[in-house]
Amino acid sequence: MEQATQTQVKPATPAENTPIDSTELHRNALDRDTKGGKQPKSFFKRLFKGRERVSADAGEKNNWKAWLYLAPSLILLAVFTFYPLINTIVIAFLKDYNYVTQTNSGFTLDNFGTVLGLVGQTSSQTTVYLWQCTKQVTDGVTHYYFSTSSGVLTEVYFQTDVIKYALPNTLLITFITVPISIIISLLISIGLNSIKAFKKVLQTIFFVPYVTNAIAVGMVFAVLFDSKGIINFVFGLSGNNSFWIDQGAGLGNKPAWMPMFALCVYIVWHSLPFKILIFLSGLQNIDKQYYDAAKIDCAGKWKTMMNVTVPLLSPQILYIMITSFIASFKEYTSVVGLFGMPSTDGGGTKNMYTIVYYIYEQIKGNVGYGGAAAVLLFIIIMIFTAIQFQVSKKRVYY
Amino acid sequence: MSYKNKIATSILALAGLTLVAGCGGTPAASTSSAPTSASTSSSGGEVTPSKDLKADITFWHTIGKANLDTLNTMITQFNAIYPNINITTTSQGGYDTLKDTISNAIPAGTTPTMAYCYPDHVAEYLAAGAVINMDKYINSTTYGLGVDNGLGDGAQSDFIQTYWNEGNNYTVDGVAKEGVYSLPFSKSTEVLFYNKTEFDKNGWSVPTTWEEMWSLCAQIKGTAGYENVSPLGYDSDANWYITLSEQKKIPYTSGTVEAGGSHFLFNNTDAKAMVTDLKAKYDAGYWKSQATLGNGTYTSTKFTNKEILMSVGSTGGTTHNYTENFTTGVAALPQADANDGKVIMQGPSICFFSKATPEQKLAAWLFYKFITNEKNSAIWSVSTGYNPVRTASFSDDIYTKRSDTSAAKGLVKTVADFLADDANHYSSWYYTSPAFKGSSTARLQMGALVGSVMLGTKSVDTAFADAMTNCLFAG
Amino acid sequence: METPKKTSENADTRNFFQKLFKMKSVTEKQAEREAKASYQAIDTSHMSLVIKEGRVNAASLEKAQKVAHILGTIITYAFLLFMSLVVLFPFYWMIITSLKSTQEIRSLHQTFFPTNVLWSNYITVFNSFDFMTYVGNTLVVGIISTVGTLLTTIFAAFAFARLNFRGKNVIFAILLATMMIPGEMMVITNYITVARLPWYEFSTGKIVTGWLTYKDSVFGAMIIPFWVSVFYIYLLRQNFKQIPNELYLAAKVDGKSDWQYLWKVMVPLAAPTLISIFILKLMGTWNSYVWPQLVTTNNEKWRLVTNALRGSFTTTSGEPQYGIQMAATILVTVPLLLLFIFFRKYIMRGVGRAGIKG
Repeated sequence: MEQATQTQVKPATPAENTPIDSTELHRNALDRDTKGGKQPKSFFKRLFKGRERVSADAGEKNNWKAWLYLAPSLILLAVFTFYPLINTIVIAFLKDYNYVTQTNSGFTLDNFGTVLGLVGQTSSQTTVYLWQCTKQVTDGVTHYYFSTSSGVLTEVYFQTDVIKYALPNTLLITFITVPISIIISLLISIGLNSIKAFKKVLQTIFFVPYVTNAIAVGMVFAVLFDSKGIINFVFGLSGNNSFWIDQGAGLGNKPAWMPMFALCVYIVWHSLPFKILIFLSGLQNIDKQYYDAAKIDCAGKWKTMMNVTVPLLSPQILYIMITSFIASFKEYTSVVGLFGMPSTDGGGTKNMYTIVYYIYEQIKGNVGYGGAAAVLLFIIIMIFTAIQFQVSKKRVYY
Repeated sequence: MSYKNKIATSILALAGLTLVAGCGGTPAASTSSAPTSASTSSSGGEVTPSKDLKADITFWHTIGKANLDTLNTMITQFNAIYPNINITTTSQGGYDTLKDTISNAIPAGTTPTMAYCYPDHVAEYLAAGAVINMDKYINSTTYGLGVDNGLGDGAQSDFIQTYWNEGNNYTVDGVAKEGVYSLPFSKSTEVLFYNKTEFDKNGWSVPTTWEEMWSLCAQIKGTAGYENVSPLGYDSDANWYITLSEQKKIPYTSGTVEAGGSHFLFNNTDAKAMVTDLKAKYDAGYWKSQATLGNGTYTSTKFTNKEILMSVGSTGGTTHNYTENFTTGVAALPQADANDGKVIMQGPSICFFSKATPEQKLAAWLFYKFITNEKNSAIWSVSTGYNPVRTASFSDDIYTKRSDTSAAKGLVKTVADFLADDANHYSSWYYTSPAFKGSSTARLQMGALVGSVMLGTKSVDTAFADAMTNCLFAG
Repeated sequence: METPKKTSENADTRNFFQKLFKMKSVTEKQAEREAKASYQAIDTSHMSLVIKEGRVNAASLEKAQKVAHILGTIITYAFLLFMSLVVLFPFYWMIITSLKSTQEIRSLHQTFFPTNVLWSNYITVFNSFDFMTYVGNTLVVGIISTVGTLLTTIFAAFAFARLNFRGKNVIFAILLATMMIPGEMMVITNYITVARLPWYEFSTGKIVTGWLTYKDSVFGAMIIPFWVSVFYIYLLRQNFKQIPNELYLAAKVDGKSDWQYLWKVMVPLAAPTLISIFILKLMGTWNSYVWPQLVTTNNEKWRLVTNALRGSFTTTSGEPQYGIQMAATILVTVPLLLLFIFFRKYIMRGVGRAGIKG
């Protein structure tokens, strides 16, 4: 009758064939990893010190063999990834680097200045700094002027794409789409795992967006979100409220949130299959025993999910979080797929720029700006990834 | 080794690897010959054209499948005369892809022998010293233009001069660079296609100047039954801006730059007034363009759907303006000044790369002479719809008496006849914009400028300032 | 029911965990139920004492549970159904676009079913280009690429997950850092690298400079730079780490070497992830465009399927013929889908956790 009495706290060894309390297992897991020493508390200390070894012997023996295992990866990465990476960083500091002629004019920080909108050019392409200019606002448009040595007042142009559009857009996209897509894909995966009928069919269906061609999807969304399309029809939007992804959407007197909304829908849609695939294969790893234990504890579906499934899936969740954030910061193909090429296909609007889009555009002309933007992006991503690791340290169970 | 030493060693190793990879030799010093290396009989001394001339050359292009057969036939015929020259052609996709591929090939040292190019692109290759000055080949007494090497080509004077001049007007860093660096091959221009059936029905006359055009537009909009129709469609916004600037003598860009001057001259009051005027006409519903239609829709599509009555489009896309539902007429582009007409000339040229052996360069040159001789230029024109580059081709039977004139091909012939007719002045009206590093960006920005102003996303001032910014920062 | 004493740190974690998910301890739950039970002992509506035994009557509880279960299942199915429609719609659109004429695609009114079903688009695709050569190229590149990636990934993930060596975390952090640079910045540098590296050319038996000249070196250029993917190393490492360390120690006690442990225990246990990586990598190669385009400039016949597709179906003035492009795309992506369907059951089968308990 009193079923509560059955869930005793079990001894640590799983050798006996008794139902296991989930919390107990976690405690054991933590025990295993910290046996023989304490964990250094600070993130950086841990990063550089590493976990204490299980035993001194095992550490020494493994040392050189590990390098053997890593050798093929490291060599390939060194040539095809580290080297271009270092090259990129170097290029960011070179003035007027032209990769076709392979010439440059020396070291400069101006590339970063340009990308951040601090360094400008006159029409004769002389460099002027923001603090050397006088500001003038005419008809709501800001102009900057600089008086040359001969006293002539020339206009100075600054590139504000990154500060005004690329950076905010990228941050918005990341912080909106990543949490939403993770939650949705988690729910779908758990749902898929729990049903019995039509399981195979549904699993295949959810993989389809991954194989769908980007052009096709762009066309579909263009049709759906068109100003004369279905979404507007269903929600009764018209006039200036109906411009989701058309030319000039989000600018002038058209609502600014609409193209971003459409873009986020697209991105979430496109990122679901991969996450579902990873979560599903991760879910297979969870032992049935945990679910049985939870059932005995009278835990409802929701409780089971939150207290058993999610923690045991936490390595995969961490992986998806880290990689999704990184990928989302590098978002580019979806903008092109959805909006075409905004800066050339009429409209000249860059309001949907992302940082990587900016980089791709700059590579065609001045590689230095692209390099500087890439370095800035790198720093931003590193900071966010470090934060994520720190926040998740205590919540991931292996 | 202690922990610190291990880290230091690995970093040093990585640095060492990068140095090794990076010091693979500078492009200039690299001695590896072009991928398909040639073997030659002559050693030292001048290479001469003879049946024994042996070379493997590569030709990169953007020719679509439809016209590839024509090219291959020409290659076979060429090989009948020069059997030891082996030509490999590779399609590189679109113009942008081709430019990117060549831009990457230059520092990597893998450029082809000859390739399709736009003058805007050649300006950049030239800055890298990757393309060769063709003067020596053009003027040579042994194998120059007009010298009979069994290829049937004519003298330089037979080329349409504006096409020719496009190739020797390059500037590098604001200073003119003497010499011919690109040669014409496959040219197009813009004409006015109009719905002849509708025009005849309503008794409208085809406009020859812009004033006439706008009053016709007003007239059409006022006619019953045509309220929802756009009278005019101009496919390329960029072309319209640049052509109008040229016609009205408004500064756009300049290849040569004095000290303190700028390449980009379009940020002036006349230009802004011109665009403001266009905006007024757009708001009145007189015209549409590719940018304002959105989604990469061509005006020719709307033209054949009868949503647009006049469409200015490239002669390379003539077939898209054909439909069975009505007769398409061909007329000249309206002008601002009837006595000093300007009409754009577009289409790829061919350039030759410096990283090739003398035998390869000569072989490529001979091939060029062959495919641009009078007969082949006419054949190419008939097959692709592009213009011939030689004046003699216009009167050649192949051009004038082409066999296939059914359906769309009939329209192609109409256009061909139109261009051949001196009364239409087209040959003297061609102009090109200066080609320098950044000119292709300027062109793109003009298209974007027009689009954004017409759609109301930017004011005229902002649009011009943005265009200027983008041009300056594009490098 | 006394909990054995643990170190303070673990207790902290457990409390944190419990508090976070508001999970009550066993004793608390029991107390709660008893409290509820005593309240229900007084049933005012019937003005009589109803004595219950600590919980609601068994039958109604079972019924409530069943209703909840069915409701839960229905909601799950409804949610999944809705999401699958959302997910499938673009694919459906791809198919109908491939059956439409270009005119219809470009017209003002979009139709949900083509007015004329044009199978001719597919015929045009087949006749247009040398389908089989490109598919063959893609298969070769794809399979060698994928197998190589699997190997490097397994080795590297094993090193990071199980072996201990100094600087492990630093190197891993550096590896993660390489994911933070956008790919395009590396393409140009890699192209120049690939054009200058030496290659042992089998047909002539000599060392040549540059990988862009001969067929085998071009294929090498398409495959080798991408044989390592930090993305997949990280994924597999997570999976390897979930395999309990006790197995490793047990194997060591048994005298097995690392190598045997890796192949006999860890790889089979991580099979679902490995198959996922296989499929994803194969698809990545199938869909890659920029790099193969760049590297095969010397001979069109060495290109991959996507390169052939994208360039092929535009009119002479550059206007894309969407109908034919869609037909070609479908011909190319359907094999991938079939591949997934075939491998699905291996991924989803899961692995029995034998050996954990003893």
